[in-house]
Amino acid sequence: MMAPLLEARSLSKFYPVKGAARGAKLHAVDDVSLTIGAGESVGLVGESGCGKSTMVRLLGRLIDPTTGQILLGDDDITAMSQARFASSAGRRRIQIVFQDATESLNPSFRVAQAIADPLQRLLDMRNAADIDKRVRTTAALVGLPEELLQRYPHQLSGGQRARVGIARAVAVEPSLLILDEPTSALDVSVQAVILRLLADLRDRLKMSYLFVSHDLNVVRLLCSRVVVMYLGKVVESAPAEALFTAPRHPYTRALVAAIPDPARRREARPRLDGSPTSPIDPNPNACRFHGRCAHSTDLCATTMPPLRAGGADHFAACHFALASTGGNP
Amino acid sequence: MAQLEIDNLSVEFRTRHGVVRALESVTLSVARGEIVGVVGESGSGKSVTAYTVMALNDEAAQITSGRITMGGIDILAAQPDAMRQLRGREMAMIFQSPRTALHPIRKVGKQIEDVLREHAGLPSRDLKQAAIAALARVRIPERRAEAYPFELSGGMCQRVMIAMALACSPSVLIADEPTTGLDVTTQAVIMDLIRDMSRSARMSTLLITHDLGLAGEYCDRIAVMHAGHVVEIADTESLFDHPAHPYTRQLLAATPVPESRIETLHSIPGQLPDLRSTLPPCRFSGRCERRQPICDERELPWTELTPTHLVRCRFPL
Amino acid sequence: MSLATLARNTGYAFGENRLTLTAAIILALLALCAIFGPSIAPFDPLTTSAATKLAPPSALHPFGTDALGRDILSRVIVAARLDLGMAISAVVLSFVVGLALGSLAGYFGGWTDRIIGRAMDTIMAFPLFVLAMGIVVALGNSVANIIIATMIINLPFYCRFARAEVNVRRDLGYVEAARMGGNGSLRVLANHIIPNILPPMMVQASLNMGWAILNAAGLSFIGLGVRPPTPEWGIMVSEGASYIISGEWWAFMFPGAALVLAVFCFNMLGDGLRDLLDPRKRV
Repeated sequence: MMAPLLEARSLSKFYPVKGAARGAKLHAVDDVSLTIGAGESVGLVGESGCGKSTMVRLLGRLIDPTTGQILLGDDDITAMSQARFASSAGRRRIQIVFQDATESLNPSFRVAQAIADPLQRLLDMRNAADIDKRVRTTAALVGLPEELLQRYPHQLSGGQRARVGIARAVAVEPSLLILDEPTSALDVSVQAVILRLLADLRDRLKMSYLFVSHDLNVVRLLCSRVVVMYLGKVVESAPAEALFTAPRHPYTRALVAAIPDPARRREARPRLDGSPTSPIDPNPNACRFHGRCAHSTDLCATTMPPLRAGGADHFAACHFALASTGGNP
Repeated sequence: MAQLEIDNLSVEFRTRHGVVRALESVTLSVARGEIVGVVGESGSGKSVTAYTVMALNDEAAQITSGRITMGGIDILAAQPDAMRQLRGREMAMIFQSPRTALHPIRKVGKQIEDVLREHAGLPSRDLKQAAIAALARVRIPERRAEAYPFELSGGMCQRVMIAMALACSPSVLIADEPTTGLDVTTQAVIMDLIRDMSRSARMSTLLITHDLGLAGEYCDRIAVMHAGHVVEIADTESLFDHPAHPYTRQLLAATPVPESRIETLHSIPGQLPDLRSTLPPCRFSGRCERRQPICDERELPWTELTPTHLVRCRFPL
Repeated sequence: MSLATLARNTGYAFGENRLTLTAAIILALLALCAIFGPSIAPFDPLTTSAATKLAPPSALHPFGTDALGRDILSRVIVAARLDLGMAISAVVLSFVVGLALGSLAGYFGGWTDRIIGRAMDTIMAFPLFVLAMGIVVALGNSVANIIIATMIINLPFYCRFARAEVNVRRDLGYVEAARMGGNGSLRVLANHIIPNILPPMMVQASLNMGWAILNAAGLSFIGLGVRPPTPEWGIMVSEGASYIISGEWWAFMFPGAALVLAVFCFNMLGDGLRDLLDPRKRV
């Protein structure tokens, strides 16, 4: 049994809501537990408002959780504040590759500088020659031509910018790489290259991945396990193939059915309409999907379904989750 | 007869850094009730095509050849006033990024009323009801007519835009990346809506997208564009089953589908050619492994594989 | 940015916009006057001559002479040093302090923001020129105090601007990446955010320069700060104003024109500076 690299236990993140009733809280992430093994690639999917961006920031230790713990190996990295963690030895072990679209590269930094900065801060490298060598090696590793090292981000193509973002994150050789929509702004052909690069790097640098994306086909390519979130909670967690071929939670089934598939163009598929219920002070005793779910019953309105196992490593939070066919009961 | 016909369209942009030959000899047509997808990557010219049809290009754009006819009317020869009449009434466009395409400080109900007032010629007292009816068609409840765009989700904003576009029952709808940025479940609902309205109103729909999978599910025919050329047009099944152009085949191989494996995911070699430079007749030849000397010398013909499957290649697969 | 890039970009920015180039040339000339003033002035600005008082412009005195017979051209040239010097000092001080306070307020928010905000509000509660007058009167009539007064009344301008710019950038991807990369808050602010807000702030500084010149000249005009016989455009306009009615227009016109020219050119330069410093426009 692999020792988990990262374990999140009952993480919650609540934000106070201005202007609403006193004490109203937005439940961005609500009692989420997650484990990532060494060398494992876990996908995190869900739609806008599900809390995956907040999870990225929680697991990346950019924000402090309201409650809950995160264990990196044996260390509880939530025992110290996020500011203290930033200067601890653990900081370099978790890195994030950000979405290209959100200006994740500093417009006034040249590429070489962008890659060198974490080396100087996290690895405390001082010698200019050493830093330069490491920058070049990292650039080569991600397939970034040397002549681009002196360029500014606005002089790079989308694919090149994506590589710089990856180079910056892997330069410090993290154990866990969190990828937040790393290819969503890229053309298909460029995306393919970057995905192959990510797969290659993972094997070479022996990293674990948390891959967050709205594109389920891409997640399926890179991840061995997928976690589905809805309104701040985990609704399903399963090996990738199982999740896509035999999803057990109604939301996951709607999600999978919504993926455009030319092979099934003639089929009428079930559609999920409406919007999610409010994440502000949600009813703790009702299933979050109640009201939008085709199978809602009174039980759904009165009892929050726990995340239950059913089948090999396949968990779903639904009172009526279909049992998996085949495999172990 | 096709409702919208684009024939041999070529568009250039005069810029400070040279002349960009954005489109060359683009030909495609959309029949009534048909949904045609225009698929391509960035720089392929798909958005320029859409904007040219709507005559919404900026002044730097120069149409150097070709014709666009809509219901028999020559769009390119039309006066700006005539175009303004057509836009909104006979032809409508849905833009990317719905929240920014709507007026930020005007209630959505009022925005629909504006369209109706301008193009449907309804008397003032009927406007409000007509707007509510338009919203109902896209399944937005009446009370939301009083909302501002920032109060609505991205999906709802897009539906408002669709309601505005369809308020006057146009005969041509151009949807430019209508679901980019939307959740996949919302995308499915929006696309289902577009498809249903297209069929029921016998509307010609041009769907511009970079998502081949999306085009594959919703379009009757697909035109694949690369660097300003249409390289292949076919009905959807033929395109996916027997892609004839090397670019189409590679694009399909690079698009992740449920069956894809990371080891076999294909990446297309090379880059888009610089559209300001002198270009060979086939703009894909620089990246094509099947290239022959003749590809760079002679003019590029259309090859008809079947009456509904055309490819612009000397050596189709 | 290397010197070569700077030179290339300067050429590019100025080549694009003739007006900016003209403004820069004129300002360069004024700067020369400021630096070499006494050496290039044809006459001693302080030498009086009752015989030639209020002489109209001529070949000998291109700008005429004032009520005490002093050559106006020489005085205008030499005054450049004081006027530009005061304005630049005040703007630089204001810029640096405003940038620091505004950045801290914009990045940390909370009480830092509230306290700094209230301090700025206190300054802005007064009509600014009146406040400047009050400060000079309280601290004493001197050039240094004009600079301090001008600096204080301009502070909120830079502070609010920096605060807004930092606020916008605080949640961007590259700031989060900088934090992931081990940069503490102050480092993120100093090394990652501020370099990006300098270009727009420089534009503001250039526009503000014109106002600072007018402010300093204005204080001198009403008799605060610089005392006669020191040549300074504001004082010269004040002294010359008494003679408008009697028709000796050159006494106030030329120093006034110098003021207008300086303010105008600084405003024109604002855009050119932004182009120069914006990394996105770098070739």
